[in-house]
Amino acid sequence: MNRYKEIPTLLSKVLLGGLSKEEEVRLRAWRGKSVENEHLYHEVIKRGFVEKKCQEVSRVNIVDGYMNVIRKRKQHVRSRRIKRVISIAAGILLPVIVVLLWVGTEEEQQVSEQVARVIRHGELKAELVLADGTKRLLGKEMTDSLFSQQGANIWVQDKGLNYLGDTSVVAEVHYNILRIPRGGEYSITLSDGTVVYMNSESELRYPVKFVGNERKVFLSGEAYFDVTSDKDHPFLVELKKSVVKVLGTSFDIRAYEDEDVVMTTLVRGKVAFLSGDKKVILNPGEQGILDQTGEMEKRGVDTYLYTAWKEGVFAFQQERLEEIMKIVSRWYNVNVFWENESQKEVTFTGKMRRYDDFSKIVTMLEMTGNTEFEIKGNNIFIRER
Amino acid sequence: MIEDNSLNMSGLMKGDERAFQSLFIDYYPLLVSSAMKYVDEQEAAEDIVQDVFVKVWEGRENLQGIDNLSAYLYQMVRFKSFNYLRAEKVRQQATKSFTEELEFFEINEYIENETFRIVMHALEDLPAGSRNVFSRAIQGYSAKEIAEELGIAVETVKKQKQIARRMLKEKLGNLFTLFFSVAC
Repeated sequence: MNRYKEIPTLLSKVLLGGLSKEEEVRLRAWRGKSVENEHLYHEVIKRGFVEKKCQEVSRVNIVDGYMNVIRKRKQHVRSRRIKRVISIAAGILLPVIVVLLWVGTEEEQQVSEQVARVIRHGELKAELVLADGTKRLLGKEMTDSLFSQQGANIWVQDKGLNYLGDTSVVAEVHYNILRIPRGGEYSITLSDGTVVYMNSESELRYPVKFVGNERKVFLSGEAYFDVTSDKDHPFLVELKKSVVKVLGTSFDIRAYEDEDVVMTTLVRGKVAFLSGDKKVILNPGEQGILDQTGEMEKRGVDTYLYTAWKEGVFAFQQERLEEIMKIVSRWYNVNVFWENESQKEVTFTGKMRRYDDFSKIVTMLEMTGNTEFEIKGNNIFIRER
Repeated sequence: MIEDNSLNMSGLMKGDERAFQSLFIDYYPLLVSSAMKYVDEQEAAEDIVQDVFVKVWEGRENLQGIDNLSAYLYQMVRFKSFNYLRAEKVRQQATKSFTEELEFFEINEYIENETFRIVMHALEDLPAGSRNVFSRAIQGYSAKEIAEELGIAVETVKKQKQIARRMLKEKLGNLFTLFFSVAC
């Protein structure tokens, strides 16, 4: 067996503690073998090694990767079936087979190219972090399973997670985290029956089971809440610098890190939107806006514009193209480059389906004026025609 | 795989989706960063690693014969990366013959990645409080620095560190025996 294969175990024990005398001898022997080994040893134990690796790893979108693997597995099964049929036929008609095989492989190549090249619309997908730190990847293909963890059972259902149904009493709060990547959406039913529809690039931290007087969750990004009414246990959504306090109601919160304002849009019921010593009370059809300076205001809005996403629709009314592209790029997971700043100010009114091809969205946006979109891979260049 | 308590090899061989997913979560990001040493482009690297996992899934029934799955994964990534480069004709030297064993710089990278992976695994098993403290401690931050960052008392930091050490000692002790009973 190759010597190097045990080195990671030894090095991890140096970092974590617990290297035995005997192991230290073996590690020393390895270090002594070459200058490079000694150098590597110092590289690993020096300050910042773990941090550097964490950064390296965090650039990879693991949920998307897994969805692609599932897709590729299916394609392989299909193309293998074709090949099997061909090989059975091979005994009978050899010359024909050669042609068929050639066509067969051609087809397979085209399919895998499509996966890589075409800009896909978003889909149901998420990453779930359980209280003990283990992760699960969730998607359309993976439904009807059940996870058990301390204090709760979780059902993975057609469109989301469900924490209902466990009646056991827990004293301690355990948190789970649901992360939706760019190009994803997912929904979750919390232990009190509250339903949360999560949009792309968003994260919700919530207790597996609500304990105590308050029902508190933590959000970044966008989500639509349908809160189960319970006057004795107010429901709180904590954002980075503000809080939304509710009794029983439906509303949308948009709190993306890369946007200047945080918006809470109320559909039904009543909520208080608080930040520092500022506070606005919202009635149905009203929207509270918190800007970067900490100022807060409220205005009347058409709530449909802010909640249509959960029905699978983009709805815009006199919306600036810059804002539109922010929303669209999260869902289709594309990067936007502005060749003329002036195009950011173009406005658009209309409805588009979220599960349409990206090209269709572009066609609609191009129809309205003299804006031109050029698509190169995952990058969209926008300029004046 | 010996140093891996998370890997459910028999589950994987039987086609248990959850075992496959755990393996994926565990290795995918590190393998992508490894593939990027060969192919530069992240999209291509991800594609290569995804294909490796498809291959593992399809050949799951024959995994028994592999003594060290993690080294095997790195070798597969290397193999597919070379194939990709050859197909893309990106570099002339890529056509040099492929050997199963990793080369020197690849071994170093393998060691770095595997060390990191094992460390992260060990940390995952700690309770949240001591995990927060200990993950900083192993990066060389002092108890005082950690206390300031987390807004807790220095004494608490020390106590959490002790808890972590005790728990890890038990766990790592197991790792040691396993390693020798299986690998040597």
